[in-house]
Amino acid sequence: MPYTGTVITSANTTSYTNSSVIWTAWTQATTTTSTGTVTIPYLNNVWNGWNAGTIGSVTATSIYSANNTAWINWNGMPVARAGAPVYVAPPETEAARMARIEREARWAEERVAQEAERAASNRRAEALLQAHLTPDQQRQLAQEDWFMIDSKSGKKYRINRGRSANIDVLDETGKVVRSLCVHPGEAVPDADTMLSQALMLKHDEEALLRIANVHGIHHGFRRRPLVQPAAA
Amino acid sequence: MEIEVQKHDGSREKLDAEGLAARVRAGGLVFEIMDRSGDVKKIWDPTKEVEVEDARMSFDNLTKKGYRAFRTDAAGKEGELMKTFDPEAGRVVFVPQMQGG
Repeated sequence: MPYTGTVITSANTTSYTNSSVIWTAWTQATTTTSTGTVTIPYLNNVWNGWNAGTIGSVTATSIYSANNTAWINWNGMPVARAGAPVYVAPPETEAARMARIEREARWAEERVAQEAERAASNRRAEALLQAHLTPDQQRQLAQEDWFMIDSKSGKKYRINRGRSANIDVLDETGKVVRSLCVHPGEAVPDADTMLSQALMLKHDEEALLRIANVHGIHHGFRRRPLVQPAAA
Repeated sequence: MEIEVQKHDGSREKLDAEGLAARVRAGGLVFEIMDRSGDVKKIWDPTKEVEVEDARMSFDNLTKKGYRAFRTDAAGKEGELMKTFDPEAGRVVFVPQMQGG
């Protein structure tokens, strides 16, 4: 948001709008004292101003006193080197306004197209996933948002909908004992990620376990609360 | 849902899930290559030498990039990890290189 403030120079007072007042003040600010000394901090004027330090001085018309330049600048009391040019944003021309409107309309269209593309990607990935699930797994996914994988090693895994830390490792009682985080390096849709995980757990389990990061069961990636089976 | 498949000649054909499975049962070779768009499906005719060679080249390029190839049955249910190209693999899903998260 543009900052509207007042520049006080040795000659007069000028209103202006400037979107970089803070930066200007941070790098070019000057302070004066009521006795007519202009302090021109440089290199690190904020630090100097903050600490009321001064580096060099020249005589000038009094403007105001400040021992805490940074705070005053930050709070809308901009200062400028006497006589320094002040940027004033020109009024938007009709041509510029039309160009801006066209640009914003184009961005809006691009956003809509991107959303449609993302939705189509998700539909394709979901269809691919469904094609490789058994009827039981399809039912689990529809009802629970996860499906089970029985690996060749005998271990049981639960793949939750998602991408990160979405594989739960189950013990023989069905209790989740840890979670695994492993997914395609490419940003594929979640359904593709889940199918990748399922295929690897079934047919290349050792490789997946070598790559996967192991998490505790309570992590921030769960989309649904973890429900453990009741103790026998 | 209609499934778009790319043929060797560059043309595209739209099939449903059963149509795709039927092609595989009839001996067709289908690559399902995962990407940001979901997946790209390519269909090859294993009876044509030129298509088999192109399929082999595609298989080798993908696996060199770190993709893993999983052969599945016509319905896409059972499968195995493929280390080498097989023109009679049927339906092959290519999974991008995996990484720990």
